[in-house]
This record gives sequence, structure tokens and C-alpha cells, in this order.
Amino acid sequence: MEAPTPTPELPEDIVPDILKWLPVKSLVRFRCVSKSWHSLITSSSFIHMHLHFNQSRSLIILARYCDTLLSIGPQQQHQPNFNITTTTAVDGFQKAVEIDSFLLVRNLPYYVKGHCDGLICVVVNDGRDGALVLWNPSIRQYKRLPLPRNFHSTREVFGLGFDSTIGDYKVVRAPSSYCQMKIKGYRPQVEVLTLGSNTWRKIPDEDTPPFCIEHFFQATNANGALYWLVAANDEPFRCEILRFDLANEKFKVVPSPPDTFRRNVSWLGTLEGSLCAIHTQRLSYVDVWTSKDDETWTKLITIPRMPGPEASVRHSDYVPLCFTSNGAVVIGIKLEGFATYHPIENKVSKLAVQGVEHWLQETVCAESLVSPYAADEPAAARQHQIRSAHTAPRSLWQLILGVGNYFSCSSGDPRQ
Amino acid sequence: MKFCTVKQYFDDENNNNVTNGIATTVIPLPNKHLKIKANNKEMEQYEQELLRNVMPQELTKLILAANYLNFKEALDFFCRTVANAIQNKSVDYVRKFFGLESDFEPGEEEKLCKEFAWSFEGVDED
Repeated sequence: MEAPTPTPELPEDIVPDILKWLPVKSLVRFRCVSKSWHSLITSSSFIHMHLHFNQSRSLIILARYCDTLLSIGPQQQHQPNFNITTTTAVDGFQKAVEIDSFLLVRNLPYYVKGHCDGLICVVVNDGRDGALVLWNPSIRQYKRLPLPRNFHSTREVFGLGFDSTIGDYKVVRAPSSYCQMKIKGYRPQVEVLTLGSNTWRKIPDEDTPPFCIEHFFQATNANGALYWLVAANDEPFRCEILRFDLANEKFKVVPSPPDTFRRNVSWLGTLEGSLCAIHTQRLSYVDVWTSKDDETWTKLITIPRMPGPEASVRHSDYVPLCFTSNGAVVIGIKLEGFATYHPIENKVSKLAVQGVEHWLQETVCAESLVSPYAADEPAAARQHQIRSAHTAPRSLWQLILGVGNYFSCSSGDPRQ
Repeated sequence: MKFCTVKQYFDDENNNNVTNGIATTVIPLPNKHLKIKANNKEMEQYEQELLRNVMPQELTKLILAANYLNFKEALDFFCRTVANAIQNKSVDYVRKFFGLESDFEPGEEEKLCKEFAWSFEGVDED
């Protein structure tokens, strides 16, 4: 294609409105266009604007313990595609790609412990001291964090979140069940590392919760807090939801969603930025509950299980991963693959994703420009980080409220 | 509010920024938007057809027009279209598109390109 003829220069404040639509790969390349574009694309205000604007452009990372990670997506949201007529196709999710740029984990035991804003917290057991890493797969950057004392690598419990009151990310080390049971002299305590400080700080003993967490759980990050499932202390075989507030660094137990069969919650996660929970799956349908305030739970969606020859045999659990632009939910089914459920058609269909056979953990994160080295920039640059209020994207509300109309933009875009 | 600005535009004879051709593309949009407001797909199809005959560099002028007319939906749409047009293009192409020049120190740009070499893979040829 011929190079274009010069055009009238655009006012500077419009350039971000163009760039916000671009995927991370393009933006990283366009840092080389000019000094001002480099400055804009690496500014924390643009990075956070881009992150929130692209919240629904999900990336699915599959961790495979002793094997490389796989990446599916990101989901193509912004380009209208008239060829998608069936719910079985999710643009961008056709193929899983091996992430061979993150060499740290190859052939070593590792776990994803948590994620936030496109940054993933990974712990690796390298046979020596171990590694605690913040990694952004979209920009292919990772940073090793200083290790806390008495670090038991993959058997530890961590979470990653953003504290909007200080405008910085926090890594939280929480008590581990494995360490409590197996490590002599282990004292359950909670420590926090703020990226800016780069040092570990213990929280007061009186704030340390009387719970331990299984090391294979990922922390769920939502509503300004981190959440884990823990075993109840007073009732045998009961589970509770433990919440850690990122701003005031206090723990509390959150009431679980109601269940007529009094089942335990077996899965916590986020969908469209809100906390979600599922009970143990033994019925022919799966209720996904959601809460924005940690008090009231509402049913977000009910997913029927796919019928099959082994209907009587217990299937692998369904894990809701993300919503598509046409209101379907992408489901991960361990040992089986992926599926999509469209609520209006009330149908679950298989979703073919090339290149995936098995995986241990799934992490749905956003595609972002957030650098694990962000805190190394001068404090002044970070003051521009403004967290926009969470509003449910259009696709979700259309689904729930049955509103088919085009949101009127003349009264103001809810995203801005 | 949109229509006040439009009227003002026509009354303003000193306006050199927006050619008539561009204005005739942008101005019918509010009516069309209102008419098929309810249907996203139709709107997207209409918008795609509209731009099929517009050269990428004309898009910049459309953006200026929409910005001047304070027409948010059109501005969003044109920005997105420019983004789609440049998404997989080279750094040189983007510079020429926006009329920009490289102002990096010698060697600085090379260093950047090398550090992010992976982002240059699979880029459209100029």
C-alpha cells in the first residue's frame, strides 16, 4: 500500500482517543513513533485510561505447572464482525499460543497466585531460593520481587491488588495451610509489599486472621479487596469467604451466597469486574452468584450443564471465564476444554480452541500496558492515576435488563 | 446542542478547517443515528459502507470536523476507524499518516526498537 500523503495535524488531546482503541502490541510499537507518543503511551494516565477502556478485552492465561503457559485471546471486542452468526465462535479465542517469552517458568513448578490490571503474580520453585515475580504477558515484561523471609515458594499464598487510596499495587502474603501443616515452626502472619516501597511489612498480629489458605488457590481481586476461600474454624467441612481490604489492610469473613442445598462455595472469581461465587457443582445446572458490596448476593447467570452420554457421571466443574460482546459467557471445563453459554438461546455449545489439551490454572486478565516497573517512576507521574468508577458494560446490562436499545451517548459515555 | 453547532458552522464563513465534502459526510450522521438508534448492527453496517470510499488520510479531516461540531458519536467512530486503519502498520506509516517526524536522539530509537522487537513482528509492509 502506498504511504499516505501528509494530513493536517490533529490536536494533541485527540490522539489518546485514537490510541485507546489499539491493542497493546501496536501501542508498544508506536512508542517508537516520536518522543511525545512515547511519553503519552508510557504515561500512567493513558495506561489506566486504556486499561479501563479495554476492560472487556479479556486474555485467558493457562498455567500448566512444569510446562510453559498458554495464552488465549485477547478477545476481539471493538471490531464488528458480521461473520459471527453462531454462539460457538468467539473472535480471538480460536487458538492457544504458547508463551515462550516467559522463560523463567519453563520446566519448573510454578503457580499463578493472583492478578490485577493485566499484571500476574507468579511463584516459581527453581530448586534454590525460589522466585516471586510480577509479569505482564501483554507487554512481555516481568520483575522479580524481593522475597519475604522464610519463603517457601510455591507453597505460599499471595494476592495482588491495587490500593486506590495510595495509587499503588500491593502484593499480600497470607497464611498457607500447607506451611502450617508441614513446616516446623511456621508462624502464620500476613505481610504486604507495596510496589513503591519494594519492602515487606508485617501487619499487626491482632489483624492477622485465624485462617490458613490452600496454596493452589488464586486470590480473587475485586471490590477493592482480595478474596480467598478458607475452611471454617467452627464448623467441620464448611467453607468461608475471607476478604482482605487493600486500603485499610483488615480481614473479615463475607457471608456466602445462599443455597437451598447448603452446599459450600467451591469457586471464587470475577466477571466484568465484580466478585462471583459458585457452589460445589453436582446438579444439572450451575448458579453463578455475584456481589458488589460483600453483603447481598444476586444470581448473575444460571448455566445448564451440557447433556452427554455420561450425564449420570460427575462432569468436571464449569468455570465461567468472561463474557463475550454478544452476551455469551465463555466457560472453562477442566479436562474437557471450553464452551460458551448463550443465555437467550439457553444453550451450551463447545468452543474449539486449538492447541490446548490440559491445564492446571486459568487466569482471565485484561490486556494492559501496566508495567511491573511502574513504581520505579517518579511519584509525580503516579499522581495521575485515577480509578474510574466501575460501571457494568453495555453487553451485561442489555442481557440482564432486556434493554435492546443503543445506549444514548449524547448524555455522556458511562466509561468516561 | 449538536444542531446549534451545525448552524453556527454554516454561518461561519471564515471556517477553512472543514471542507464541504467532509461536512456533507458528517452532518447527515445525527439523523441516521437517531433513526436506527435501536439497532447496533445496522448502525455498524451503515458506518462501514460510509467509509468504504473514504481514504484513510481523509479520516483525520473527518475527526477535525466531528471535533469542531462537537459530535461525540461521530468522533468516537472516526477515531476507532483510524485506529483500525493504523493498528497493524509500521512506525513509518504512522508518522506519515499523522505528519509526524522522529525526534529521538540518534541511537535512542534503535534501542527502543530492539527492546520491543517482538512488537514489530507481522506488521504490514508499507
